[in-house]
Amino acid sequence: MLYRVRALFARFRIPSPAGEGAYALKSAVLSPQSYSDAREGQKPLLSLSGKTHWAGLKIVVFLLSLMPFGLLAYGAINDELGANPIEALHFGFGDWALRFLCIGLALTPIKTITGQGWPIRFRRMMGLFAFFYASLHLLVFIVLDLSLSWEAFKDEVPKSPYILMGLLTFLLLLPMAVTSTKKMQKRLGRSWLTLHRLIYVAGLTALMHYFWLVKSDYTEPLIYAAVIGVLLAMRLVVYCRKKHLINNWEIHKKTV
Amino acid sequence: MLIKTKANILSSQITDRAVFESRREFIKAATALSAGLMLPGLGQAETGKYADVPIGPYSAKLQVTDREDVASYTNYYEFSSNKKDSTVLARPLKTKPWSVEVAGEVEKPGVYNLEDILKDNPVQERIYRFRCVEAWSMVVPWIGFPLGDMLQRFKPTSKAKFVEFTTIYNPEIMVGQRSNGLDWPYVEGLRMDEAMHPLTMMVTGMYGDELPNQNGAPLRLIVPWKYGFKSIKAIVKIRFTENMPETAWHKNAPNEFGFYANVNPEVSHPRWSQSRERVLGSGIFAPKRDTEKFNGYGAEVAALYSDMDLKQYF
Repeated sequence: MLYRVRALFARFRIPSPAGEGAYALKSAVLSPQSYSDAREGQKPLLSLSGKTHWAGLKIVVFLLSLMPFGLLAYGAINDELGANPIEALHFGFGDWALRFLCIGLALTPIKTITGQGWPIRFRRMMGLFAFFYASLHLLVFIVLDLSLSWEAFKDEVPKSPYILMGLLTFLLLLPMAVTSTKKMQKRLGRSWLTLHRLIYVAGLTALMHYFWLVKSDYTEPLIYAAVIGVLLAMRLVVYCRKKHLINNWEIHKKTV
Repeated sequence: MLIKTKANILSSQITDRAVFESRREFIKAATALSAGLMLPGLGQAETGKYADVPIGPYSAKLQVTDREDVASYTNYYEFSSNKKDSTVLARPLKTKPWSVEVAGEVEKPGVYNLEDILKDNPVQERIYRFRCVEAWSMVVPWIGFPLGDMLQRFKPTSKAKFVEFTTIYNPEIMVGQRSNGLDWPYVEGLRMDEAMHPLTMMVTGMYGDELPNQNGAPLRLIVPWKYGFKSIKAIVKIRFTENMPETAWHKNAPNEFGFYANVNPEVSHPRWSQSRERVLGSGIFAPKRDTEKFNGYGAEVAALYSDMDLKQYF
């Protein structure tokens, strides 16, 4: 058991600083699409041969991700969303935006822990679904809740810190969604990565949006805060280890 | 007493007379049917116990909200912060027998049986608007009696300036009371003149029947010109006090929830505007309704606050 845990943590370690290890790591970080489905010498957990198989799996995941939308839309059409259907749609889409944001944030840590590269194949799709549900969440607010009334918007939005925080979250997601294509990724190069680190900020502002909305029962936002907290902390661990390694490398270089 | 008509009722909100009068028959039939089918979420009250009670004063001729909506959308944090969950979670609460402790600045303190209270206070039906601080609203035919009539019988002393109400504390059944959030048990209060106002009701039923547990059975308060959180549920204690009672939501967030909590579109809640409200059952594309000051009961109650700055005493 202990061995397993240690082996798990060992995965956090960066490959040997000597030789090309550090460079290989750096290049892997800088080009997120240049992954293999498993680390060298390791058998991938999810091994699919050929492009068509991956495409098939992606279609399945895509359809599954559309299910919450389908169920809520079906409920709205058939008047099965309870006493306050607008609220049910509004909260439902908001919940799913946050859930997909969590799933998207979980993929890189899963890759780090398992050493399997395949989770990264789904990162773009999960991120875009988070944006899709966030857009529906905002759309329901503007079209159904405010009935497209500019008067109502002016009256209600500036007074509500939690709505402003929600709008900010949407504005943070927007440039990532726009630059999510492979073309944009190539064009932006290094800065694409920097830009897409906005997802960490969006995760935090989404949490604040939820916390400020709640009146007294913080159970649900606390669960999301714990999930997002762990996922961001894991990145911090990797980052710190990397820093440590770089320091060692500098010292190593000087002594040679 | 005259039945007062409200000034700005849209013609679309006024129920057709024939429909209004046949409502009772419909409710009877619907409750009988749903009881027969054992539909969930409809509470466990006896069928039509209050089917033939007289209509009281102040009852507005408004389109009432569907009973199903009122019974499945409740803020009852003692059970859950989820409005739908309390429908099921509140079922195990035993509401019979029920007694109410009367204490404080009063000549006739003691523990009163609810059945005896009901013998002294004949019930009537009143259709009132109900406005939640979360900016949604409904119209409910409540069954109950004026709170003031009951309070007078206990003979409050001259020192009694406020009335404090307390909800039952039973964390074994009220699972929401196990966690923090609010300082349990739930406490609410009214100024004496507010409590004695003829609009203020003690409620034991709705829609011609007993209150479902999730709506505050067996005894709750209804103060139609105040936000819903003032209308405390499942009352076990009434205490007359000289000083303003500390109330549950006010204690939790004094800058957000005032003691008075009068419905007022001019005074925003720190987190949301109060100028509009979502009318439950109005349909997915219906715009919100403009909220009325004192929830439309200004003609009756505005005088109670004539010398007060309502922005300060929200």
